[in-house]
Amino acid sequence: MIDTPPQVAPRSDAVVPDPSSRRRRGRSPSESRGPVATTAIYVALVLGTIVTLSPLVWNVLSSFKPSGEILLAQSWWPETFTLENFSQLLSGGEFPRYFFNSVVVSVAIVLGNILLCSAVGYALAKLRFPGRGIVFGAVLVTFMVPSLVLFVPQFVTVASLNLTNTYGGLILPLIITPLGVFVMRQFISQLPDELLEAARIDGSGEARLFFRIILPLCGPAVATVGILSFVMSWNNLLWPLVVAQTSDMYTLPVALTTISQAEGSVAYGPLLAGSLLTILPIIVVFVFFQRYFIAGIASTGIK
Amino acid sequence: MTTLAPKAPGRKKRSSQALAGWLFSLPFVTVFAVFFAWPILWSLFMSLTDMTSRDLRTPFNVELVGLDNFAAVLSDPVFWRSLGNTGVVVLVAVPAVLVIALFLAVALNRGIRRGKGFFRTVYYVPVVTSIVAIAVVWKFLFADNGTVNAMLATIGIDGPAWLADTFWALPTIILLVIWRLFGLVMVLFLAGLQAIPQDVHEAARVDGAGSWRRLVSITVPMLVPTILLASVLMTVFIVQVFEEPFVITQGGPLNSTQSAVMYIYDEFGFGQYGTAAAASYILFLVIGLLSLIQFRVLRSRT
Amino acid sequence: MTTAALTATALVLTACGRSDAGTTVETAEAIDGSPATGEITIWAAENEGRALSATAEEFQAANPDVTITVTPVSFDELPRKVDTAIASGEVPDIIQPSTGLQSYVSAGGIAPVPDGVTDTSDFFDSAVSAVTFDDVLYAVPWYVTVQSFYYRADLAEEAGLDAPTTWEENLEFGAALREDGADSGTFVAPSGTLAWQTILPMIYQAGGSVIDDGEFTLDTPEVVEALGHYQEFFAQDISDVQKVITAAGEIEAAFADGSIGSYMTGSYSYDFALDALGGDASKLGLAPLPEGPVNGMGYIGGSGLAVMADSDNQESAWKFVRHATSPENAVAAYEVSGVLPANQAAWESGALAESPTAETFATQLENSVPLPQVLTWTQIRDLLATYGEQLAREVITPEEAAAEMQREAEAIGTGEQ
Repeated sequence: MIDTPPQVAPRSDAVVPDPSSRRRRGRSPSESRGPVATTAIYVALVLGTIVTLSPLVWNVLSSFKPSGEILLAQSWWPETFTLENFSQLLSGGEFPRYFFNSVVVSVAIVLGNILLCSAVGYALAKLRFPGRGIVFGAVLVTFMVPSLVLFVPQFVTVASLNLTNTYGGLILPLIITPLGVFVMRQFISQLPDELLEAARIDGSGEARLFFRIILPLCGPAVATVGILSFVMSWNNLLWPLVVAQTSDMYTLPVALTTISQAEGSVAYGPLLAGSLLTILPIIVVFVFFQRYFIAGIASTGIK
Repeated sequence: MTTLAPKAPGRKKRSSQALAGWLFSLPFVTVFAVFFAWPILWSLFMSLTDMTSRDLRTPFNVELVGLDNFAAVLSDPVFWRSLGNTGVVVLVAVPAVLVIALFLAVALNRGIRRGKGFFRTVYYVPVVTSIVAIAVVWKFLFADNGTVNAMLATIGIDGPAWLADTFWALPTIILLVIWRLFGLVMVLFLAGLQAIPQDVHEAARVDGAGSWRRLVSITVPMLVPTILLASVLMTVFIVQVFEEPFVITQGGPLNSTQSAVMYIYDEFGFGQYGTAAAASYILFLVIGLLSLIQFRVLRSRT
Repeated sequence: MTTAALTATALVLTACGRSDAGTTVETAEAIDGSPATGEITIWAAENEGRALSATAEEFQAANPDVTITVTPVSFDELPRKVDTAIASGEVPDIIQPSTGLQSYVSAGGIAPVPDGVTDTSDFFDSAVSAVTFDDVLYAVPWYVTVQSFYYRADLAEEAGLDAPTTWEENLEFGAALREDGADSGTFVAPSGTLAWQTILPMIYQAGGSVIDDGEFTLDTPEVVEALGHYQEFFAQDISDVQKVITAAGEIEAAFADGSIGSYMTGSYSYDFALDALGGDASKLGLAPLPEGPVNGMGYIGGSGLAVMADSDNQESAWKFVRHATSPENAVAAYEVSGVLPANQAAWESGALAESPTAETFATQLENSVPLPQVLTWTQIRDLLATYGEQLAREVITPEEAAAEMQREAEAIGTGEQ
């Protein structure tokens, strides 16, 4: 699994992406290559798209089928077209609330992770202080403990802090990701020390240094931490399941597993409808922001 | 990588740096102490006792059993089976995710002119899907009379009952793991690719290097730090594979898709907190070992 | 760490056995008829919770000072949620404990039922004993599920078959429908929860048991006979071993399209099956479980309503429980959620009495026993499922399976100390 690609190019310092190097802004022009190669790439991408999307297409189509027809799985196209699943899902009027909760929790976790992980990552990478080794050791240990093992003790801790059924309880235990610290530390330690020395000589305080110089240079690392923590919190099921004790604190995954469950039954129609409504807004956000989302990641580096 | 400590500063600077270091670490350390260190110690204690769910209200009212829980876990063939399955998932899924993501990232970064945004979005979508719903879809696609077998039938292959087959169930699960993760890594790679200065490519092109040659000798080597980071991330993610087999096969048939974390989850479900914690610590050692190897590689490469 | 460990040892030495540490029976005050007040929160599965919500609305109208919140909880994840809630003391007032009741009781999380809430003679005996531990009642029986034999009446008629009444007839029935084109003439689950739910009644029907007087009895000839009968469905290819059920509702869907001719499961399946058949009741046959060599016993499932020991509004909570488990509200629950009332009076009139299925269910209910009362039941039933899967795939003989289950069950123990 430690698949290290063969080192082909002669090693040079240029291998390390130097975020301060000047680059042209805007889209990178595509290669001028033969029409055959370009066509081949498109064909591969389109095939990949079909494979990637077909489960979701099935999801979309099936959310318009009655529950019984979904499990029969005779055809992709609904034989009986119904909006029943959506009306059942939205009838309680609580779905927007679940969505709101998910957004609040995920945004807080993403922002918290970016801030806390980069702060400690900076300290670990560039500052000398007694106990640095211990802090880094703590990061590594936490990184390796399967989160499931901490489940029960974490819950008891949250309860003793009176945080059950609050946003605090849903957010705080996820607000640091050891992985995030590790990513930030790795990235910041690649930044040239001279940059810091120069700023220090100019009389910048450490806080100013961090917010004005370090953080703006951390684009790719910030993006990595943001994406990882977003995915982890957006799909997180087990933790909110126990911390959210009343349905007004439920997040989307909790609500989805709860939908129409009874002894021996799950209503798949509303479940698939809910899944669709969960994914759609994220896709919309991604479509609108993806240019900034990805291109912006790297461009932060040149400012 | 500049792993060297910063140049030794003067005494005054050093003390102000120490203060800054602690202030920057403080939020992390606080959260860590409350939500990680204490629970970690607690579960270590659990692993040495016969604690069950019935003792939760009186957690110290348990008997110390030494390493009995560890012995019990290590002598359980189901545990080894689940560890083996997890190993297979990691060995197959991690390289697969990396290769697919690398191909897509390179193609989307420089290979094509039109439709970049569309493809990026498409490939990222699986990352945000809900596993509970996707599980239903997967079961349908890979049912004995499902879409996949219908397609295989058109080319004359009589497909197996994927999820009910002791050999094919695990590959089917692995496919879902890959499907849900490659978009994530693709985005990481895209970010890494855009950090590669344009001039390098242009210089190479002027020198007459073809696009394949440039991919192999410029793009990939310059992406090595990102690739290694992604491989560590994916290993740690995938070694804890749980949701996919949990919601689709519940570990069956005949434990062929039981993963290590599922084993732990089952023990918790039985209320056997002692054994669950012991199994967790064994898995912890395995992850630790894997990470250590990868850190070493990471360090030597960058 | 060390201090904690020493304290732990000391406590163990002084405590007189911890399994009964939490189950002290407090002499609670009797619940009177005054109005309920304050806030009551309830955790229930989505479907059953709908019935409680309806009852709650009407209860709040009669008791204006009470506010009731019903929180729907995933049925499968309820035990995890309740376990953690008990551990932290942050609990709701009322839960639908289902079959997890015993473990919550032994964790000290459940309040015993005080006087003035219920009269146990109103309920089916088996429903009462399912919520009674060490002679203490911990929940008021609310709804029950019993098992039945479901078959495609239309297909059976075409084949000239009557519903089977014995094991042998069942095998013939299944084989005949298999001949006629069903993948599974009688579907028997080859793995998972449904597998132990199938095997357990067969053990009873052969005259066996899981545990008797604190000793596991899984290697008896009766259990071997039951396991043999279970395996027979696969050996004769009556049930398709490749049909692994992982989603609730799959059986009913396959039943409707004819690939499953008949199956045995809980009473909750009736509505789903009818739904899947497009509401055509003439196709849906229902019969009591086929009898084994000794009897036609099934086990009783369902749930009571329990009040949490840490609830700070117990008195009002009990008043609501009393209200919700009355015959008329039990019938209302049947109408809203399709769950069978545990209250006998509810079967005598109203919607349920008129239902064509009531007689079959009532017959089986008379013929049902509670699940084995052993603290490690979740592990024992997992054994039944695990070895059931091996039997279904014919990689083990019934004798071997019985011996292995007994050995493993003894290693797991009864959880008593």
